[in-house]
Amino acid sequence: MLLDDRVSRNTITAYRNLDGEGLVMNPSDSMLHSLNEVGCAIWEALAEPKAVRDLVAVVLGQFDCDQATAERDVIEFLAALQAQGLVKVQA
Amino acid sequence: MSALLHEDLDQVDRQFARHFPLARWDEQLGLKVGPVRVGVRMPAGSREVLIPRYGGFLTDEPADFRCEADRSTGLDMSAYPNILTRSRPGGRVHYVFRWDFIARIDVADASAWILLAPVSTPLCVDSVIRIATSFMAVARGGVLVHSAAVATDIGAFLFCGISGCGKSTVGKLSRDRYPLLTDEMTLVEKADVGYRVWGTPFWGELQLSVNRSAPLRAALLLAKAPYNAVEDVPAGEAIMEFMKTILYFGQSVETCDALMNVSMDLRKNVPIKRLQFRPEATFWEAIDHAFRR
Repeated sequence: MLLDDRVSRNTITAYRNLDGEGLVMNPSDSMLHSLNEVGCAIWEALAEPKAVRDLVAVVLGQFDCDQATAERDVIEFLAALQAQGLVKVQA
Repeated sequence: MSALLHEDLDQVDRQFARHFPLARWDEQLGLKVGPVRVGVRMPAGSREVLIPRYGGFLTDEPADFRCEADRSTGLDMSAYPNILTRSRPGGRVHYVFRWDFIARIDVADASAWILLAPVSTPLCVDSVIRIATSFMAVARGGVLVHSAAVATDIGAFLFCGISGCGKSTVGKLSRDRYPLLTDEMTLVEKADVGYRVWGTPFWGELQLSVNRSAPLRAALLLAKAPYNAVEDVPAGEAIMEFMKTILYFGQSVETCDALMNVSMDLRKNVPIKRLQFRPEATFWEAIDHAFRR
């Protein structure tokens, strides 16, 4: 995954933020996924499709971490969401 | 019929329209699942199988929910060795495909139609009633939960968990002390104050479930352990773990939203805690310590 890749949320999901703990449910497989505070920030930022680098900026703006860590964590997280069918990533 | 039946729901509806609503039927029965009265019309030979299962849940009252079953001689469902569900957008109509039947459940119309394959047994009707009840419960602001339920003098405790987690063990160890509502499947619905739980006719290993209800005192997430303790669970984890025990088959985002709403509201109104327990009745001491102080 590259920083310029575009990411969009699977719109057919249900999501709740419980004081920084997120729950995402995918109706297609009835799977429940939990998100931490950073995951919630990224998921909520994806209300509109965004480039990976924009999501890195969201994390840098809200959490105390360096650029390299943010990039690595965001890409790992998005890859996990993609594997679960929760987001689509387009080059 | 096509092996890809679930990919053309309009075709499935046409198939149903050739049978339903039934013009005639051989047998019927009525049962109560919580406050909902279910009326079932079905082919000959079904009552003698189903009535012993439903015992104290049978009723002659007019139905709130109608369920009709009919045999279809040409129906080959062998492409569905496992259960598969599909939902129409909006979350009103749901379809269930299984090796021995197809069902169409219309929540708004409060009805279910079942086409039985030649290999089916009358127990298919029981399966569909369970599934339909799960949808109806959500529509009514409740859920059907994999759990044992025990009614005590301070309210009912729900012992939640998937198969193998100890529901029947809890039931066996509790029934000499308190009335057991069910050891397998509990209907949970919002009440004027808090939530109320019902035993359902969908019993488990103990084959013991009663047509009674009680106010819900707490939901306990079962975890086998070498000790007994009632532990707090963070809100998100509690809701997620509770949701994993809900009987749920739909594939619509509306139903997922509704399930989340019910689970979150329940968490606001009723404690959801973890019960670490060893298989002895002494786990009630931990519950008493946590809830009677």
